[in-house]
Amino acid sequence: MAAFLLEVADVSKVFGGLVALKSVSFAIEEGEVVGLIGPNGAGKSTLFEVVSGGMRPTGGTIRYQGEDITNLPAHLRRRAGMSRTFQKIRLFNNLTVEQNLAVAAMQSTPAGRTWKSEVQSALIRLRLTGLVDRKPSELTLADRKKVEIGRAIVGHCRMLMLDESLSGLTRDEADDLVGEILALNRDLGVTILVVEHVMPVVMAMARRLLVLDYGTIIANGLPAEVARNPDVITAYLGTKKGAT
Amino acid sequence: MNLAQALLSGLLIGGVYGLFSIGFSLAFGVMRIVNFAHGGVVMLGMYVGLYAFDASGIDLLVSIPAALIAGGLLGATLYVTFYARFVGKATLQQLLLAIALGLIIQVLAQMAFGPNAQSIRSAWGSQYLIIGTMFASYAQIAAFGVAVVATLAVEALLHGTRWGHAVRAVADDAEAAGIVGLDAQRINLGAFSLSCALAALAGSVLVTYYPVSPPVGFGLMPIALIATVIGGLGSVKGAFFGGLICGVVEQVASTAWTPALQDVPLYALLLIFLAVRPFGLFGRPSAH
Repeated sequence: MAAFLLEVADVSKVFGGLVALKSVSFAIEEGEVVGLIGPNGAGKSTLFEVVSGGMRPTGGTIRYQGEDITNLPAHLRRRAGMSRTFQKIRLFNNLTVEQNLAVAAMQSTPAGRTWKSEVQSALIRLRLTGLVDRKPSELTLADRKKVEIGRAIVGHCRMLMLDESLSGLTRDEADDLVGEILALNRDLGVTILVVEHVMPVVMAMARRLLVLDYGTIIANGLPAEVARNPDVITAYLGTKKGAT
Repeated sequence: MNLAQALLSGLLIGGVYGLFSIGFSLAFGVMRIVNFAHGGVVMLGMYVGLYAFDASGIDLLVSIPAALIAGGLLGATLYVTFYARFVGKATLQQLLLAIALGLIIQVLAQMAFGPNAQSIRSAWGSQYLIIGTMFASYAQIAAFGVAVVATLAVEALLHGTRWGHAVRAVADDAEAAGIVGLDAQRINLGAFSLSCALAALAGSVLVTYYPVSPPVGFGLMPIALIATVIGGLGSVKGAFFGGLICGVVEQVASTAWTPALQDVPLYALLLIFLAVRPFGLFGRPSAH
């Protein structure tokens, strides 16, 4: 049996009478870059929350590194190397850039490495060394996004989940950030799951796409295949085209 | 009493006000818990100081550690039993719960220690340092010293240690703190225990010159609220300076006007701050 890093099996989430996720199943192998797309309200954010530990699913199981983490609190998932960013950036505004990374590194740096060197290498990697003493409120949006990614990768990070990290950026800034994200995958072997709303961006980044619509996975495959899938065109591209 | 004397006395008691206000502000700043039982913990700390003195005969060397431990344990118990479920909410239910706990603590203290005011007859309380026309008891000076040292220690803890960074991260965004691997519940437990330990510490030094009776706790709550608002909700140094200001205003009003109305300028100050600078001296206007 192939060892998957993340296995989501038959996961559902119901809010009152609203079914946000309906028996969602997929798996991600170590080292993959997977895009999760779908129209607004498809359940992407809910799925993200359930996988990262912000919400418990109503049913189904989530396995990470072969272990059932369905009911594991978020902070223990992070210490096990699963981290995320938020669609609306949530940095610690009372702490400096360096301290934002440090609080994360202190919790999840594996034995044999020091949290200080973890912070330092993340700062260098993301070219944030000139901003260490700044507060998040003094940074540009692009830099705040980088700090949030830095905070997610310091210490032990095996799987990074990015929630619309590119929204609000200029074309150049987005290209730059995509480069950084892909470098994390290439250089460090970090498995990446990106939720994106903008199709071209995710097509360029991900090697595999999952398409969510009305709480179910309607397509799962190579970007080029998925883009030709009639269900996807109706559900996602179709409505997109109709809206504009 | 002249004005200079009022200033000095106000400053000295204001330090103690500042010390317990720090604890109150910490619980609010980190967990959004408005702990109306905080004054009750100060009052219990006063009894701890009283009995530690009776038992040992040495003032602060025994009563300070005893109060810190008792306050910390009480805080941990209150947090686990009652407050944990209200973290981040500051709801009406939480407020009512805190008031109820404060009343229960007061009634229990009355059953345990009796309703009468008791005071320590220590050598420190009756020896005075005389500076020109002003005077202060050694107990007042020592209490102020403890308050300043404890405040600096808390500031150093929050800004210079790993735990302090973690507390500030949780205060900022508890969910994001979980996402970076911080166990917010455990950090809250520590912060709430510290909050109550500081309340009890303030009580244990206050009792060296201020008589204790069960209602004293609730009587101190307006000071904690006003000091916290003046200083800026959640700010440690703000709460300390807020406490100093409360002490000075109260004593000067009592001297220059009449003791019966010494609290009126305090409330006036609260109203002015709420109207003009609701985020206080050290708060940030954008916070929440």
